[in-house]
Amino acid sequence: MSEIITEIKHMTKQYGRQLALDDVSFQIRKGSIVGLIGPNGAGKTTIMKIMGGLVFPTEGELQMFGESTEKGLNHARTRASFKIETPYAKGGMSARENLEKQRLQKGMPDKGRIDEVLKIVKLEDTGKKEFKKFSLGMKQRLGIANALLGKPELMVLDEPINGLDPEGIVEIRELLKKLNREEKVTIVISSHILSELSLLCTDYIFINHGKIIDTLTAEELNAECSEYYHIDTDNNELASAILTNECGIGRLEILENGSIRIYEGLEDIHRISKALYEGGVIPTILARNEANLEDYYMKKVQGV
Amino acid sequence: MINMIRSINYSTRRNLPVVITVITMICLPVLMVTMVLGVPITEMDGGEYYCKAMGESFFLVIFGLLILSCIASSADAGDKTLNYEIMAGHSRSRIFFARTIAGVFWGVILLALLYYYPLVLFGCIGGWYKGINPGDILLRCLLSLLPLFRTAAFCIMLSSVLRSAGKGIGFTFLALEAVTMIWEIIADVFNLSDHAVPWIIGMTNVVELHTLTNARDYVIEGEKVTVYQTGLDPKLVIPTVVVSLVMGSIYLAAAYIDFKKRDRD
Repeated sequence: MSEIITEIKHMTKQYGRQLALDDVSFQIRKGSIVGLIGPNGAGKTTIMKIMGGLVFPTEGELQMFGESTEKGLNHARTRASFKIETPYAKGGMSARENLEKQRLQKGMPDKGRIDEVLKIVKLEDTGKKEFKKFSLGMKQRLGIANALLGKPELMVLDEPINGLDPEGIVEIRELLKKLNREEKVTIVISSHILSELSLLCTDYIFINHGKIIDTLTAEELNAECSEYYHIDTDNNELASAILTNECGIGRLEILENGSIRIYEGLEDIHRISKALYEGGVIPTILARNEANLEDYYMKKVQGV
Repeated sequence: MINMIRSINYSTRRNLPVVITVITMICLPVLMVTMVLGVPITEMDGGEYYCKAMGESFFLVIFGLLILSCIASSADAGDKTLNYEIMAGHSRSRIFFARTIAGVFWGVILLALLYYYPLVLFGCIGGWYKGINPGDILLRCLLSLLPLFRTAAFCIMLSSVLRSAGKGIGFTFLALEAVTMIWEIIADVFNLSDHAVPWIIGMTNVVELHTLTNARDYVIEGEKVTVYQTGLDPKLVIPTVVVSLVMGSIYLAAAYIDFKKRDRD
């Protein structure tokens, strides 16, 4: 079992009457890439802000790198970096000047690190262009550069690929994978682009209405996201009875729109289609699919 | 903490309103002398500048104080770059004190240097008027740092609580104006002395420190000299020191509590 570097225990956060987090508990393993997944307002950013020390929890405990006191957490945060919301920066200053401000604040002696991170995020040619004139993609890149500046052991990234072009998304994904693989950086990431998360994450935390509704590893997700047949017929009710009673299919799901998914007997589709036909049902769709993170998200978060 | 102060200074130096303010304040004495007083620069001396221009120019200098102290202490709150300091593991106490030191440095020390440098400049150009005791003037200048500190603390408090340098500048100015107006009405209604200045917030304290009210004419070595009474009245000194330190501390304590306890969304 890998070392736990961050743990949140029974955390609650209340803004006035609004409950942003409701008894949230989870752990983050060293070397993992954790995807925080949930709809807008689910509580993802609140969790990240609590980890970053921007927001105080109403109840519960945060432990980072074995520290849980206020002083200890501040020390632990020196080993982490955060990019929360749209990157914060001085609108009238260039990318280099913004990074220089953060380098000074962190007390880093190595000025050369700024060139390194600018090159990594491909902002080395922006010159004196002011941050306020940057595109959203460039702002995101600067936010990531800022997060890389201190060579962190833990990176917490809130929507880091939002606004990036497809090429940029691939570059950032490969960069994060490389950091995780070669420098053992643990990454906590939230994104609405679930297809990207599925290419990156080793662990997933699903959150909705401030509650953790599921946590699972990529292996567990793969097991959950097995292949299935999507079946639509002129009489789905009768079809589901035939599939259950005559074909003996146990793992069957009827969707809200009446469509049927079967997770068994996939190699025996000829017998299934024959049984449906002989039972007086005409299939209109009979397609083999593979469930993915999006399907799992919809099922877990939206109950679809 | 020194790292954070260096970081704040780095961005404050690159802030356009700060640059404009500093340049304006550097040019202000020359403009005051040539355009307002109508005296050629070469004929102005340090003592004369103190008598004729210090009080007049102060009401422009107050804008400098608002701009410099609010921007140095809280510009990073407005664009949220201050959040990086929290996320980098600096304690909120250290962050607050770093910002307060920066706000006092820019809004009091630098401002005072810009406000008082003409005395040295015109002293070098035209000498020092013999009817004014330079030692007393130095004391008045040093003493005026205290009400400047009090006002800077008020600026730091408002801009910190409002989390915006712009709002801090605006609301501080409104508060200063409102208190002055309200006080004038109260003083009028209750027949209070004009001298009973609302020192808790008002800026007239600095003007009073730089206003020489009594003077006598003497003939020294055949030359008529107006000798100003520059010694400080304890009735002015004691409240200046006490109110400035007490109220300045209260403003900073209120800002500190807010900074330490409130979420930074």
